[in-house]
Amino acid sequence: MNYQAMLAAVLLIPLLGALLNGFFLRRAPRLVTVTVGTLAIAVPFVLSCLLVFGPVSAGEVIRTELFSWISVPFNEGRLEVPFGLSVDRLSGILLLIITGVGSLIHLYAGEYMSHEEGVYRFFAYLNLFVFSMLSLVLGSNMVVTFLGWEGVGVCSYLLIGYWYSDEANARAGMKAFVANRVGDLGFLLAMFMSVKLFGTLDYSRIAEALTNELAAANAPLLTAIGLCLLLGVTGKSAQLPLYIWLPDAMAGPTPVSALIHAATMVTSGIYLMTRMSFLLVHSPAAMTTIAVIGACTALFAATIGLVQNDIKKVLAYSTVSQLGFMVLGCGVGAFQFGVAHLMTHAFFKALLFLGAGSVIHAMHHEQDIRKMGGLIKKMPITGWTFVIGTLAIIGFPGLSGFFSKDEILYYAWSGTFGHPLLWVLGALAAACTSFYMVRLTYLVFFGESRVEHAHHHHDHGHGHDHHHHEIHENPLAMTLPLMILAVFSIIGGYVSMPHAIMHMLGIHAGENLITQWLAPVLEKAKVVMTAAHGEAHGSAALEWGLMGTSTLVMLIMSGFAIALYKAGPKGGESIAKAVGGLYRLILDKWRVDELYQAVIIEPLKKVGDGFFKFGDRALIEGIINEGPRGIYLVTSVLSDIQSGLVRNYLKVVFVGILALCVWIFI
Amino acid sequence: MLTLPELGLYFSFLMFLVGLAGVMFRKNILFMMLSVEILLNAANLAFVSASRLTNTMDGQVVMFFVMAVAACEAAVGLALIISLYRTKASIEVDDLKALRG
Repeated sequence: MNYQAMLAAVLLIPLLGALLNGFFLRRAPRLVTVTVGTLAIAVPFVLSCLLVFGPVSAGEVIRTELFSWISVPFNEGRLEVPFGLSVDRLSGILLLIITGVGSLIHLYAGEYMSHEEGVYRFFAYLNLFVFSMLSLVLGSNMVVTFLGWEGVGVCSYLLIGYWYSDEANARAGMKAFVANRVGDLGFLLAMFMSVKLFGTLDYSRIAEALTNELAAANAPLLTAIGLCLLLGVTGKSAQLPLYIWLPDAMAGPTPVSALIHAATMVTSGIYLMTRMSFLLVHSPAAMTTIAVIGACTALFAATIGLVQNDIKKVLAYSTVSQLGFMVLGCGVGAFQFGVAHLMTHAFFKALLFLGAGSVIHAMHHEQDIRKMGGLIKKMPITGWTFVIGTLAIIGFPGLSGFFSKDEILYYAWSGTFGHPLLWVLGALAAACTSFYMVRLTYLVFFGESRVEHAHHHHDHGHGHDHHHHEIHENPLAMTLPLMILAVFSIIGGYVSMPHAIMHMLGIHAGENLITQWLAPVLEKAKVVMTAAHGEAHGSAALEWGLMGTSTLVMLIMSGFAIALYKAGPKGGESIAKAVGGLYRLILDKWRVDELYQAVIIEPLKKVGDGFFKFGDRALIEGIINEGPRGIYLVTSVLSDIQSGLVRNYLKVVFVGILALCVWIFI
Repeated sequence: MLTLPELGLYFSFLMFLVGLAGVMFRKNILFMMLSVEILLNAANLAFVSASRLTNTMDGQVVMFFVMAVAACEAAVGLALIISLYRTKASIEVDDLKALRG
């Protein structure tokens, strides 16, 4: 099989799985559904490995065109948009994450959803999601990417509202969809402007067309494209101000949260920015905006995470915060570390979500961490892998998050577009991360058990009643993915080892793995940045200093969290009382939803009401009701002639004949 | 002095007026049918008179056709009136205005 066919197969097999599950296997046994669903991702994973570790790692870019999609006359030439796929080193990383983590999560989901009726729907959506996500990262032009971009939005909507009989879930899905649409508008505008400026939407052609002269002549337009892309990113990757949908998206089943709302879909913004890095770096204004938004989101979401009591909500805000780190990394010009953090985050956040799912599954849909505690004795595998995930995310030295996050923080200070203030925001966010993650882990797995033995079921409108009350470890299908992800959460970070540590260990490879790997993709961006701003201005001493500081902060905050919650969830109450109003404000998520309700939704409703009253009631219903009434008035005169009385007709006939006679004979 | 065919023509004209008035002003369908017969016979008389005046046989041939058609018309019309009476219990023409606009 040649590589082009493999590439097409990687994209199409998940689609086939979705079609099979969605249309043909509706009555198939659960085992068949789960097997088809999982294989539809596992087979592409094997093919992806062959592709990525074969030709792609050798520096090749595999391209193929499935069919010619759009071909229209444009500016004396033609605008050609084929359904083109390409895999280079950047999309290769994403490909492995999507199919690899995806297969593990499918395997897990088969067990997690074992009490559900009609899982074919779930697996059809999940496979369709993977198809969309793959077309997002494999698309060789912006239109194919946009197709995937919209597709993942739809699948996200479908899966958040999977238990649609509960209105809150349906609303959460709607919220996610609408917030995403706002971002999609940005992406669309960016595409329009790219067509206008470059006459093509193919990434590699845009990269060729964008010369320094063109960039200098069109600086405002490039900034506009960058900002529109950023709007798209804030929607899909849940950044300020559009992040509001992601916490609500936790209404979906936990495997969905792990796959879509932690590991893959929400990182597509980082992918897009890295893909367009050669364009973004021409606009310092856009880059600075990206960095500031990323840093602010990281801190903002982390503060909300401090006080949440729902295990999935904590992880959701943590995801928003970590996405902020990635965006910050891209914004300061360290795209490769944004991608590195994307990868490590995919491992440890999928691990944390699946661990949370394992707990929720064992606790029969209890999600309040105040009602857990001491679970590590009952669920050792889930517990210890969760601890590894926590250590990875808070940046414990040696685990994956330490490397990727510290590199981002280092570049936030010293990167091309970096600034010490960005580092301060990032470091504060990292401090909050340490606190809330340790708090979460400690309250769930350690201390005294606070599990209520008389279960009250949270009725999600699904599943059967459970009569076995004892909490116990889940079967291998759920713990195996946890263990594999735990291994990657430990080792995944070594690709982005800081220079200082490399020197200490005596590795003189020049650059770390991820920088080397992504060098061909980021070459153009690097040339532009170096030409305009000189080499990045960091030093080993600074690197050590920042690393030491953040490690110290991490240790202090973790210790503080453990000390505070040693006696259970009441430990935080004294602080909560001391800051009173602020605590309630953060507990209410800074009341951003209420702000949007008051500032955007209510005025929109008023406008809508106005349109309804004027446009619908007065104008449209006016035309529809009054128009026929006028016509009726006119026609009723005519219809009166047709009286139904025979003698009247005879009179008309007689008069007519008479007139005819007069006309003929006289 | 009028010849017989001329007299027939004038008489057929008068008969036609009588029949027309009957169709137009009577309300009872039965009488309207009778008036239609008068109309047809007025036409017949006109045909026959014209035939005599012009010394051709065409008018007389047509007259036989008209008589045949009139017989059929009477049969069908009477049958219609009977079934109308059965459903509406009336043969007043003004009661039949379901087809007004």
